[in-house]
Amino acid sequence: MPQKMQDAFVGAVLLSAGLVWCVLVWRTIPPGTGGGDVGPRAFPLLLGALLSILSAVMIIKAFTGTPAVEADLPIDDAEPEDSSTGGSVGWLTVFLTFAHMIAYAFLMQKLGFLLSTVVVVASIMVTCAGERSPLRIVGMSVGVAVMCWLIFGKLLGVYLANGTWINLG
Amino acid sequence: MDQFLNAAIMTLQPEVLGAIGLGSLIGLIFGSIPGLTFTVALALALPLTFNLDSISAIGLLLGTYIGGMTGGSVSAILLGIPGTPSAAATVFDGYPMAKNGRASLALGMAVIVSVFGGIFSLVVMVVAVQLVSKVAITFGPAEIFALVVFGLSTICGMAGRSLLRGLIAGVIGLMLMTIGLDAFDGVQRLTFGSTNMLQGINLLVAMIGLFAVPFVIQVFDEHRRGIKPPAQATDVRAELPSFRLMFANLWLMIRCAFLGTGIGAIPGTGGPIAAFLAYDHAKRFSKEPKTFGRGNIKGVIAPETANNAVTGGTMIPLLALGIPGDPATAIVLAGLQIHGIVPGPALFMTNQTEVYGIYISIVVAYVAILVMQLLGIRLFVHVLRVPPRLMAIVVIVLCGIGAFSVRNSIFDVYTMAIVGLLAYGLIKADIPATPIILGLVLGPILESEFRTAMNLSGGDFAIFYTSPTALVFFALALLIVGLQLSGEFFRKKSKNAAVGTSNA
Amino acid sequence: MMSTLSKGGIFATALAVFAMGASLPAKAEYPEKPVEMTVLFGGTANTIAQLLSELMAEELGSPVVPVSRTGGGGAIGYAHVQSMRPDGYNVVWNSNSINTSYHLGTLPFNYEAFDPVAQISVEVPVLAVSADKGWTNLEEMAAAVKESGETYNIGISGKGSFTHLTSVALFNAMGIGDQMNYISYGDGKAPVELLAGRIDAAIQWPGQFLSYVESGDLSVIASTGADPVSVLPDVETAQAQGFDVDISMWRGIAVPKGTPEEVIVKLEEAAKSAVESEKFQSAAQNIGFEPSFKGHAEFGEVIAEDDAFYASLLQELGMTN
Repeated sequence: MPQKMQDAFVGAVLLSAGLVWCVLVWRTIPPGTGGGDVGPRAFPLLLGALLSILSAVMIIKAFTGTPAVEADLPIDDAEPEDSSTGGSVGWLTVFLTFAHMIAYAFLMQKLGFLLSTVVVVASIMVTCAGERSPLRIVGMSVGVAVMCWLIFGKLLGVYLANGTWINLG
Repeated sequence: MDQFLNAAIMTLQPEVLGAIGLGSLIGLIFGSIPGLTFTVALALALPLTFNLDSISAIGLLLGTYIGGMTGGSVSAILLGIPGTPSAAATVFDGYPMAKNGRASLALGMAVIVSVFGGIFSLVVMVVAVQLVSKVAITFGPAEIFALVVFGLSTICGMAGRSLLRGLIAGVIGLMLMTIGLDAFDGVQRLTFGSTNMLQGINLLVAMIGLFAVPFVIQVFDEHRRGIKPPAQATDVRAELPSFRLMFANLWLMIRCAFLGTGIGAIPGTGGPIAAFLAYDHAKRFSKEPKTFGRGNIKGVIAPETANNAVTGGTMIPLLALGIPGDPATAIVLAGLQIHGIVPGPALFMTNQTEVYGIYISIVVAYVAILVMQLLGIRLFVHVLRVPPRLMAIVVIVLCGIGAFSVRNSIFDVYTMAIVGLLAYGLIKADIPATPIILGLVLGPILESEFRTAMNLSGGDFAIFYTSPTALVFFALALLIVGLQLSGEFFRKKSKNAAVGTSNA
Repeated sequence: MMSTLSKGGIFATALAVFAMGASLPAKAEYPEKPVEMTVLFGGTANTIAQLLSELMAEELGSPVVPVSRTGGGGAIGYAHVQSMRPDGYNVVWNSNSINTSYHLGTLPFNYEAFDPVAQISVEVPVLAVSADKGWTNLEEMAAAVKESGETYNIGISGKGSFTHLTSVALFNAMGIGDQMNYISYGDGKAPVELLAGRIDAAIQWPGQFLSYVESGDLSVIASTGADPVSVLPDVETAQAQGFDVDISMWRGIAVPKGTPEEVIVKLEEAAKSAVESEKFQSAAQNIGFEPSFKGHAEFGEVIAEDDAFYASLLQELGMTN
């Protein structure tokens, strides 16, 4: 059953994450000064163990449990239904969005807020939003960047990133 | 009485009213924009107060604080991205309401109950500031730890399909917050020797990533697949809550306001716990809990009343004890101090006029916010007319500004992206996102209060079970978990029974 | 009102964003673009920094922008400024934390990575006890503690924090260090914990105790600096009470190593007139810190002396890295 397989897979990923976490915590964080003190290692270790146990339970439930209960219950969660049951995931979109955010951070540091925003917005317009009209691409990217720069940087006095390579704003 | 009149005359000057109004507006703007929060707004407003007289300065800061707290609901309802952590619980029902075309009703209700909660807590403060502050003092590390455990138990109510998945999400949230420099022992935790990692994961940054990144990805994904946004979203009527609706929920509002005031009065807890507990409370005592999470207006009323009641609550320890409850009130404290107003037990003897001035400023701020936001609703709902893909682009830029401005650190922009990707993966794996935020909010308090308590008692657990207050909260937490477990068990049984009969 | 806001906003950032990043040689006419002052902590540190930068901007004729880079016990901000060009446009609002965080192992470089500009202010910790303990000076406290033989809980901000180190030094000098159990709280909570009776004494900043002293709930029995603190003039220093402790937290300005001398002098002069201004002096009284200007040479000596002191103190505590 795909639902079962998915649960087992997620559980396995989380279990390995929990175990790796525990090993890292054990090897890098000192246990603390002793006495009555709860050291800096106790909480992270406990949480890592908890995650491992919970995900192990998830795997076991996936094979032996009663998935009917989980699948039939109404979703009383705020997450929109279609996001979790949408079937095929647009991994390309996920990758592109994530790549743009990382690029935004990188460029913000190098080019400053204004330039990096123009570049990143234009690129997102083309790749993610499927925009082809050059006028709209330029309008949107320059518009958003300048508006934000004026409203936040100048009017409200928020400190925006300065570039280390060049710094237009 | 003379002092009250004096304070009233001083506060109702045009420049003071202007300062309060301006503060409220700045707070509303920062609160309502996803990514920007009122802590940043307060930090920006503080230098402006250096050149103002003391009453105007107080008005500006209080207006910003209150405006920010109220404004957080706007983007929570319209976009499903909370403007502040305190508004995270509002997303549950506020966002579905907006999707069903009832955005203005949710927004209107949110601002009205916010003002109700705020004024309610102010009244409590005026009447019982000394009493409440005395009670607040009795909350030591052990009691606050117990309260936080109680707060965590609300994961049960928002776990979605299964408690197990909710718990996993909560634990992941708690884990994320342990990264960085441990303030207790000065030890680095999972920093891998990187100086940048020392700052750890900021709550606000993580919250932005958690809610905004999945939103953006989903919008682009739908666009790519050619899914049109639902038609209702483009048709928004400016429908405001009727008096009947308000009166029907008056009792709920009063309970949530009490809850918010009480939790606000305990230093170091604050808005998010109050909002989550209020939401859980409303759902648990509702006759139709199934409708929660699908646009039940009670799910907006409860957290919004409670998180604004926190504003009055936090003013109690701030003024009576000189203890700021969170980074935002710490800035308000600095603003008071620089004008020679030293909060603490002596304040009510030496600076009576300023204290009355503070009370009046809070009322004025709420009036200003009520007017501005009710007028603003007509404007806000137009956000829903913006094509989603363009909105998503604006959200990315705003979140970039917001994540950076929390600590002026590029590291935080990277963190936002990574946390966002992680959150998207978890949501895809049916792990609910909201317990993560609860873990993020409560994690640091949970750990630090526990360690302080153990430190105080010399490693003896008796400190937890000898305190009646702590026991009450532990018992409440157990009760909630117990109810949830038995509920799941019976649901399972009845389902099996139902299956059995249909097969027969 | 609107004008105040936009003026503040424009003042703070407009020039910063217009000015080209690639700076001309600093010697030409320093400063020709805004100076960025990195602030490492919130609270009092941030408030003083915001005021100072405003006053310094008036002197320099160019904006001084306070930018908060908190986290990692100051390490984040130090690392940022240290990595910047030594042209005087990036200054750090520093404190003893440069010494402690290096020796605690959170910073990979020490105070020598910076050139001192000027010391601005000093904050002197004070020791407060609950009024019903009846202790009025250190002598009485030391005697009572020794006689009881019990363990006492002392509130601090965190292990290795400044208040922790001060507490250790003072109680060791009093000969009661072994009977003290140090409890980590976040900043600001100690007075309440003291009031509630969960801890027995706390060393914190005078401003936090003022109101409680006035109301008679707490008594402050000693300050740890060389001179009495101005907001609590009746409180005697530990030295005056016969215990050899002289610790206070200085705050000042530093720039990355290699900044031209004339730039440092210019900043130093601006800082001097800012500290001497009436506005700064009255803010100091209100917030509860001591304005204390020292020129760059003298300031450098203070930092170097402190560095040796904290190194040995942390060594003693077994907290060095």
